[in-house]
Formats: sequence, structure tokens, C-alpha cells
Amino acid sequence: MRLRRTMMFVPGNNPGMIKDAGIYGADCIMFDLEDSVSINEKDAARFLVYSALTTLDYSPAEIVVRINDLSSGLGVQDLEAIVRAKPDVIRLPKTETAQDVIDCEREIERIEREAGIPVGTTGMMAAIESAEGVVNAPAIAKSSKRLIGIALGAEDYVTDLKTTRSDGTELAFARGMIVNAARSAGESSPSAGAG
Amino acid sequence: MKIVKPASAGTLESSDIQIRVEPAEQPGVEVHLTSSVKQQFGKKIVQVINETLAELGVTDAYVEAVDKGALDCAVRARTAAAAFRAADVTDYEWRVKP
Repeated sequence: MRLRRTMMFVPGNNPGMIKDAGIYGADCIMFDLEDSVSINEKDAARFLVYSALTTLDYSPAEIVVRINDLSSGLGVQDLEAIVRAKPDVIRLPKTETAQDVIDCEREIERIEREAGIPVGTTGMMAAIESAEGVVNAPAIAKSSKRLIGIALGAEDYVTDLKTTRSDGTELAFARGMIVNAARSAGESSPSAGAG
Repeated sequence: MKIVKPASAGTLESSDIQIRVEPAEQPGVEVHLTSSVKQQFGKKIVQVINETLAELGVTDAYVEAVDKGALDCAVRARTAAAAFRAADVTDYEWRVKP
């Protein structure tokens, strides 16, 4: 069983941080193409993360790449590059419905076939960041065999709830819902404290 | 791939390299490198830039590179990003990791 105690977020357009990402001993290293990359640098970050993943050795860490959501028009471009670099997991942000996961999986499978990568190689993680997503967590958890976990994007979630972070009370329902949904779907590591 | 306008990628932060690609005034690829480690790694950095441009089919370009200690993978990524921007091309051909 793979340990996922710590996931270190690394901005996808920062070569210095990407170079040193492996030295801290995080269980998972998550290269970010989404919120830490400005809109006019999305292409450069894609090249940088692709180049790093095809060159550097981060073992034994699990390699995750957070892509932009598919509705932004950037997500499929991210997948075209990153699936070919063979990360362990693609993290899909702003997951609100099971269909969001299914749509992303369809693109991953198409690229795997085009690239000659065995279908199913690329894992997926769904990040839930809204009240709608939390309500749909059970369906999201069962939407794909590729899912290795569900994460809660807590900052965006509390913003969607029109509240703020305090002692965690405001996250209790979402955390419980997501853990229960993931466990009932048999996923290995429901991550309910992220964000 | 034909370079049609000046464009750059990368920053002047540590471990990065800023690459500026411009249309060539003469045939061929000319690389001008500034780097604090030029004595030791200059030839290698220029070689990586040249190889990356050759793989992209860029035959004519003037390249201005300011290196801040970038690894080869960062040099390749910044060169490719600058070249695609300078060629005004977004039809990237990603290859599978060996």
C-alpha cells in the first residue's frame, strides 16, 4: 500500500523549485499547472513540467500533476503533454459531477491510445472544491476505476459556502462526506484534509 | 518551423534561463549566451539550445540566452516555449517518455 501522508505542491513554472522538489521526502510531489501559473505562462509551465518529468528522477515519491479544468480550454492541452510524460496521477480540479471525471478520463484514454501507452496507466485524483461537488461525492467516487483518491480544496470550498476558515467546523461535513464516499467506493486513500 | 516574430520565455530567477528567439538576419542559428558558469558549461548550454531548435525544425534564428544556472531540462523547456511563441505555433508535438 502506498503512503500518501504528505503532498507537496510545486509551482509548474518555477525551475528552482522543480529542481529541488525531491529532496524534502514528501510522499507525493504535485506539480501545479493551475492556480500557481499565470494565464500567459501556461504554455511555458507545460513545457517545463513535461521536460522535468521526462528527465529528473523523483523516486520514491508519487508524481501528481494538477491540470487546469477542462472547461477552461487549457485542460486538454495540459493532458496532451503531461499524459505522455507518464506521471502516476493526474489531479483534476473543480470536480463537481461524475461527468467531469468521465470527460477527463475519456481524454486521458484517447491520448494513451494515440501515444502507445497501455490504457489505464495514468491514475486520477478528483479535487472537490464546491458545495455541489461535495453533494455529488458518492457518484464522483464511483465514476472511474482510475481514481486513487478524492481531495478537498478547502479554501475554494469555504469560499463557495460564503464563509471563512476557523477551527475546521465548517469543513466537517465535507470531510466526512468525502471520506465516506471514497471508502464506500473502495478508493485507497481518501484525502479529506487538503487545501 | 519558421520564426516570424521576437518572443521570449523564462525568467532571470536562480535555476532558470531566459531565452529570446528572433527572426534571423542571416541563414542559420546564432546563439548568444550570457552565463556566470559560461567557462564550464557554456558549450553544453549552447549545444542544448541548438539541439532543441533542430528537433523543432528551426533552421534560422537569432537566440539571446541569459542563464542563471538552469538544468538541461529547463534549458530545453524554455527554448521550446520561446521557439513556439516566436513561430506563432500552438500545434505542439509531444513525445512519449522513453
